[in-house]
Order: sequence, then structure tokens, then C-alpha cells
Amino acid sequence: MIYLDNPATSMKKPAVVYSAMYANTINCSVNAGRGGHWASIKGAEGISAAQDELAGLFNIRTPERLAFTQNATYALNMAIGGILRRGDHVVMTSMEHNSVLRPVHRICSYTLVEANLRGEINPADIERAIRKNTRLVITTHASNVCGTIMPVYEIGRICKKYNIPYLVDAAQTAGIIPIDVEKMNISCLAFSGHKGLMGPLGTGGLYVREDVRLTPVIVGGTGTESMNKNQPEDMPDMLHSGTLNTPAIMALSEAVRYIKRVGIEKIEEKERRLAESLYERLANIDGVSVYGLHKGNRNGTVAFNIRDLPSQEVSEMLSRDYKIATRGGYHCSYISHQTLGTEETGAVRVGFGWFSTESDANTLVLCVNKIAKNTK
Amino acid sequence: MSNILVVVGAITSASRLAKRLTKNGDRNVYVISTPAMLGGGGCSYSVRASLASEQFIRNNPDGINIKGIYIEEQKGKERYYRDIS
Repeated sequence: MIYLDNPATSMKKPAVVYSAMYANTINCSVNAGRGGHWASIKGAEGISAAQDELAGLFNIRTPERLAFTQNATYALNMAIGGILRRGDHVVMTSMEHNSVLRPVHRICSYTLVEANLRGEINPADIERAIRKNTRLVITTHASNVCGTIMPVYEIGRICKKYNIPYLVDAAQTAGIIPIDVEKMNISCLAFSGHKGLMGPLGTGGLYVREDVRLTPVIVGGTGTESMNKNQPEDMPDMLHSGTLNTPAIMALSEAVRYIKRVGIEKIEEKERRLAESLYERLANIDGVSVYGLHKGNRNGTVAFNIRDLPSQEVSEMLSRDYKIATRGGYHCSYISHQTLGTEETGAVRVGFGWFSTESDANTLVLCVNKIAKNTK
Repeated sequence: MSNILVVVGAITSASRLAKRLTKNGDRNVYVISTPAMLGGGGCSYSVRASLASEQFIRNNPDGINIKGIYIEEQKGKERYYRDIS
């Protein structure tokens, strides 16, 4: 069986993540920050250590500004719902995921800055879209459909110039591409723990810079200030209502340590190399169309179609007949497909991960070739 | 016996401060629920450490949100707190 749906989640994790998940589920299934007993404190040590690891990875100066969530969607909703009000305006791109588009659409007006057919954004277009009431700029770091990486450095500079907070959706890049919240001028960073970071499902997080005023979307028990009817204002408690998944967060911590040991540049290079090679080989198959960038500013995700076959059908054939897991359809981002010109068929998405191999890519190419020949 | 008590709030802050103090050589570091008399109805966290760590705590290299610093003195079973914030 070949798994190539890493943009959805990294099915294969480093061995240390499995063992940490197992050990911590047995020894540390505790509610961190509920009471002063040894179990609560032990859980807090694990959470705090995970904050430190992620802060190191993203160059976050104050680890306390990082709160854990169950995934990037929750993190994005916390940021978007916490910052925006009716009457505000948002600048974002035509490559955003529904986890950005839907919460924004529900609250206020927005401008979708159009990417080109390769999914690339011109930062000047972001600047041109800014209005007097622009309250937030949001971009994905990399497209979850075709892998094109956004010019976050340049966009961060623009946001700094206009003093507008910049929210980056790093669901597809955390753990894969170096992220530096300081150099990129990122005000809020939303990330998945279970994709490129190779942590357990049910993990993610949100970094909120000190100067961002955010009203918590979820309020409730935080283990602190119990007499206060209002939510505590200190991070991370402000965003830590309810019980945290302590064993999973501790396992995520191990995943981050693993990534640091391997070297994120190595991960980036491998996944990009696999994607660039696949792109080229698929493009040379008669009847196959490939989308996004061939080389350059891209991660390990490639999107393609075979003639006018519905993409879900191709994906189903790959799974049923060849045991290759890919995802067909619109990938929770119809606007991306409108941008790439695939709104009629969607596309088959292939996403390499750290544990993907050349052999996986070779097998996929052979199978796509077969399907393309059989459907001539 | 006298200690220093640092009231912080979030348990992760307390845990982080405790770790830093231990790394700094203080062997008398404990995370505890903030004593009720110091406010918060017991619903915050504090770090008990040696008096010698006072300057390190005030330097606060990690930018931890410190809500109060106290000298803690124990006489018999009773503990008394003097605010030195």
C-alpha cells in the first residue's frame, strides 16, 4: 500500500511519536493545570516542553504565546473569529482553504487576491487590495492543492508597513518548510500538528503575537481564576479552555524534536525533489495535465488530471486497483480550483511526506500511465 | 525557613519558570497552587524557590507574566507572605 495523501495527514509517524503516545497515554493521561497535585504539574511540564519545542522551530520569542488546538481549522477559527468583527475587511488569496474562507465569509467582507494559473501571488496585488477598514491579511503558506508557496516574507513586510496583523495558515508547511515568525512578520500562525509536523491526529496550535488583540471564541474552564466570570486574558490560558490532549501534545513535542534532529531543510529538499520529479514525469504522459509550479517555490504536493476523467474516479481507481492513496475532488478549496482552471473536474492530489520514497513515485507514474492508456 | 514565591497564573508559565530555575542551579524549586491568601481563590499557580534565585526571577529571561513576588516564611505550620514585587 502506498500512502500519498500527506496534505490530509501524515499517516506514517516517526517511531518516537508512537512510543511517546503509548507511554504518555499510560503515564500521563492527566489534566494539566487542574489543581496543584503531582499529576497536574507533570502534565503541565509536558505541555510547556511542547511549547518550547515549537517556539524553537518557529522562532517564537515567548513560548507562552502559543496555544494548542485540535487542528489548524480550530486555530484559524480562533484567530479569525477572535480578531474580526462585522464591518471589517480582510485581504486574502484565491488559494485559501475553506478553513480560512468560511470563517471570514461568515463575518465580514473580503478581497480574494487572484493567483495566476500556477497558484502564484504577486505581493503588490495584496498591497493594492488593502483598504482603510482592512483589519487582517490572511494567506496560506502553501497551497493544499498544488503546493505553490506564497511570498510570505514580502506580504509580511507589506503588513508591517500598514500595521495590519498577518495571519498565516501553515497547515501545509509546519515541519516541512522553515518558518520564522519574526523575519516573516507573522502576527498569528495557525498550524496542524498531524501533517508535516508528524505528530498525532488531534493536534495543532495557534501562535498569537503580543500586539494582537484577540477575543477568545471558546471560553470556559481554564484551571485558573475560577472566581472570574470572564475568561483569563493571559496566554495560553485565554485559548486553553477545557481539557488538553496531554499525551498527544507530548507526542507532538517528540515529533518536533525528531524534525530538528533530521533538519527541516533536508525534509524540504526531499519533498520538493520528489514533487518536481513527479511533475515532470506526469507531464510527459499523454493525456495527463499537471497544475501549479514545476520547480521552485513549491512543497511536496502535486495536482494532476487524466484527460476529462473526474478526478474522484481516478483517485478511486488508484486506491482500488493499485492501493495508492491520493485525494480527488476539490480538497476543501473550490476557489483554488477556480484559480487553477480545474473547477469542472477537480484534480487528483498527490502529497509526498518525509517517509515517501522514489519507489512510491515510480509506482504512481506507472499506474497513471496505465490508466491514461486505458482511457484513450 | 524562608523561600521566594512567584505567582504566575498559567500552569505552563509556572512549569517553565521552575524548569529555568532548576537549570540555573536552584534545587529547591516546586510548582504549587497559589495559596488562597494571595488571591485568586487558589486558582492560579506559583513557583516556590530559594531566596538566592530572586535576581534571576526578576531578570525574567523568558518574559513570563509574573503577577507577584513574595518572601515566604514558615513558622511552625503557618506560612506568611511579604510582598516584594
